[in-house]
Amino acid sequence: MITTVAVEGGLSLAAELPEGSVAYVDRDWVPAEAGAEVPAIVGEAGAEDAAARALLVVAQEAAAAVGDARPAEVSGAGAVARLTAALLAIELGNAAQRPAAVVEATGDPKAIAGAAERLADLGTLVLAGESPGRPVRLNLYPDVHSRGLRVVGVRPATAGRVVAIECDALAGLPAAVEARPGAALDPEAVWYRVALTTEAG
Amino acid sequence: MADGVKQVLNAQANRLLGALGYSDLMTQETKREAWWWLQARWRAVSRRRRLLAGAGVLWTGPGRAQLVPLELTAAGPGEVTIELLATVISPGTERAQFLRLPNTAVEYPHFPGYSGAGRVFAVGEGVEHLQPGDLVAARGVGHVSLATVPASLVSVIPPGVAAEEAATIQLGTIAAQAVRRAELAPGEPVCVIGAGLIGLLAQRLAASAGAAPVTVIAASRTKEPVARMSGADQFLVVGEDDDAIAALNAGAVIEAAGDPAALDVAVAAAVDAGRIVLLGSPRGLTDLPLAEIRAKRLSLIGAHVETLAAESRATGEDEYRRESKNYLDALAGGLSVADLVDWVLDPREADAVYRELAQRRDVVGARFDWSRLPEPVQPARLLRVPSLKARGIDPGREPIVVPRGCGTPDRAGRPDRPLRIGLLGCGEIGVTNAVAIAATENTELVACFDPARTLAEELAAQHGATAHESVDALLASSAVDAVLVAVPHHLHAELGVRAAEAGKHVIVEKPPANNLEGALRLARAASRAEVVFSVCLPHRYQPGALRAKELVAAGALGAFTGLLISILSKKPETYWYGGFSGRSASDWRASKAKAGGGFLIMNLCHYVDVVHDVVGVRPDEVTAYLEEPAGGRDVEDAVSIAVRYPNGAIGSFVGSAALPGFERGRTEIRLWGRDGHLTLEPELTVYSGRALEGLRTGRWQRFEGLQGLGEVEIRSTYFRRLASAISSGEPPDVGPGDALALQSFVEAAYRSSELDRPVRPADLLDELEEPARR
Repeated sequence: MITTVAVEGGLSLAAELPEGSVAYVDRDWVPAEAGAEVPAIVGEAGAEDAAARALLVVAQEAAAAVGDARPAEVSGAGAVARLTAALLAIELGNAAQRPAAVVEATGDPKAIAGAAERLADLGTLVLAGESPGRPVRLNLYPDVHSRGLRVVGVRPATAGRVVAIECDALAGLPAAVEARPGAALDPEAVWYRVALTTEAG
Repeated sequence: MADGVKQVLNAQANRLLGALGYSDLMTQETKREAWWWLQARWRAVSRRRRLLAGAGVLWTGPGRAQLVPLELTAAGPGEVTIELLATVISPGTERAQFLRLPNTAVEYPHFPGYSGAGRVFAVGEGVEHLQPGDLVAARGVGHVSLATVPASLVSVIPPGVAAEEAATIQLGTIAAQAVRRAELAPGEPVCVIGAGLIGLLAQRLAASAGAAPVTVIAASRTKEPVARMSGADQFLVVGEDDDAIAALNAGAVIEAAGDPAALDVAVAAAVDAGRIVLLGSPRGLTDLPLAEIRAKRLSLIGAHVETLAAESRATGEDEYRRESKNYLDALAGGLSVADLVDWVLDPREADAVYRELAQRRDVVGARFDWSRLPEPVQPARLLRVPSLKARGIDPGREPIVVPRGCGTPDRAGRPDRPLRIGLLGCGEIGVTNAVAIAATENTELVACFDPARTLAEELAAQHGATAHESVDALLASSAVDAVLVAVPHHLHAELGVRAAEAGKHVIVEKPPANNLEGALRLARAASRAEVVFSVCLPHRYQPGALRAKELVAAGALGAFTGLLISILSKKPETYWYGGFSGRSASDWRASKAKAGGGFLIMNLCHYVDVVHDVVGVRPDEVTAYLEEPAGGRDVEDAVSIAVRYPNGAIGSFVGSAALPGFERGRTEIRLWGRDGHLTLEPELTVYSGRALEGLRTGRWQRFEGLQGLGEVEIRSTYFRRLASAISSGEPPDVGPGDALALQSFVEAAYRSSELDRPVRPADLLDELEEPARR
């Protein structure tokens, strides 16, 4: 289990992991508050490539859900968001016009509600972010029902699938940054590698 | 600035109408009438159009509906005027709007409804595809008898499709666009959540699109029969069939319940990568089951009908019209929906209809039948002066003239010879009865007796009767058919029993006796002797009471739910020593042992009988409080009684004979039910939400020709009908059952006041009848 811990300069990750295992965490999966649970892809040491491919599967499903809908947006700054943007050949961030599709990769309830509001009528909202312990409460009437939105769920990378997909987008993904115990997370990182146990290190 | 002026004008109008005695509601109606009058004429003049008049259902405020008169302009360019035959109620949506549930922003006054069918009344310029007389279905029309709408909202009904089915066009379009968005594949399992009108339409459309099997999920089994009739392969209930729901693996789930909690059910029912179509308008916030939606890779698809407008913008086609046409084609192709809207309503009953709709959850669909209005469409006069009478749909606000025969007894009775009556007791009420008997064509006063011989002789001389020297002598007379007992209460039973045993029919001035035991003894004696036993309770024959009874029987009140009687007066002290007239000096009225009680048994019991005769039920529980006797008497001056009826209705009887300043007395009698309300005293007035012959729905109304009758006249009616019943061998209007019911009510009230707890009248009768059964 991995949780956020407040440290000087920001948040750190505290992890309880099986002996010899490593966890990978998308930057967008880290909640803003301390003490929160953090989802992770857990594997054996040296599983970074498999983890990246798991993230890529999410991005590919998200991009497939978007299809040809344009303008499209990707909400987030982590690995899934970057991979999805690469697959869609768009920049991260908000579109100039009301988007026809939004891939929401943060899982943040407020971001999800904001994405639904931003979407054009008949638009597609792709849910590709993680929201453990954060209830997502929406008024579906104005946000989805009356504007004909389509909300598509993408299976999470933490589901444990191993799918080998060759894709150029993967090449653009930076290496995971080590999350050191007691040290603030690198704010520039796209995703983190966690290989430490709590306290004992 | 404009708002400021409007506020000032509004305040001035309120002040003016208030000064004229208008209630808030009347003020609101009057201002509405004046505003609409102005608007209609402005449109007619500025657009140079003909003015037409019809009627429409209006929600005047949350939870209030009314049929109101409407004026509208005939069709202009691109428009069609339709005389509606049927408009369909979507119970889920309209119930939510009527009750102001979340996500139902409605501004009042509001014309509900959005789907109907009728006949083209007029077409405007440029409308090529329609002709007057065409049968058409129209989207966006309210519950009105007449509507002018854009021709783009109107479609010709295909041959073979009934107007009431085509009237579902908007609802069918709503369901059809959701089914289309579900992208059903032939043979794909589909599930519909919600068994309301929209849900069942979606279910039928999905089945006709080839989806199979089709499962309906609902919150209860109430609508299972209609869903099964609709062709549902399975009907599952949330909370009972959760395992079966989770095993459905439906490729598409159409959520038509509009309940936020239904999304969890939809997610459970859907197969991996399935589609959940949000057809029902979600009422409130929804906790999105995000983990499950992602784990199953589900798609949630918003399917509000207004999204057709967005689709039209995208395609450049009228997607609304295309969807509607597809729906009408489906009807023409054999899709049957008539059974979904087979609750047919009279628009005049709008208030009662919506109230019932608010309370019931088992209604699938309903429709207003506009052909029930006497004049659904009328020409309107441009120069008509606006009514400032707060009249609603009621054009005259004049009293209703009662048709001949209403409010009068129908039993004429003309026996070969009159019923010959012997009178025991020639005091105050004896005189009134003697005059009434003499005034009745089929009764005759033939004999009198009173211990005060001069009273008997005087009365006998006045009416050509014989004054007898004793009770026995009168009872032995072969000239006497029936004996009228008009003596102090404690002697009713004894003299009545003797009369019955002498073979005479027994008539007793109310009450039947001074206690229940005496009344029962009297009834049994009459039964044994096979003679008629009746109690003189003539207030039943007041024309207002008779008309009220007719109206209640016709359903003007709906289910009876309550009544209130208040009889307030001030009796003079002399009353206790010789009645009102002083004709027969006696203080028996002041004695509990002799009279049986005070104001309740002496006066209030008349009205107890009247109201129970009108509503046709009697209370099963009585709780009473009596004012402590005063003035050296041991009977009550005042009483307060609360009662409960077997159907759950409640009643309150309050009476006093000692209210300072009330020498003339004041009587109020009020009865009400689920659908109506009437006052019997001080005059008959009625308000009914039901459309009944001879009544104006949803309005208070008075009656003309129902003037109250005097004591002699109502007693004469009583005697006439009694004589007729005896002559024809029919039971009398007031028989032993009525007598015992009244007496047991009175006794229960007295017993309750002694025991300080509720008493059941039936238990008192059982107590007395039990020894006889043993």
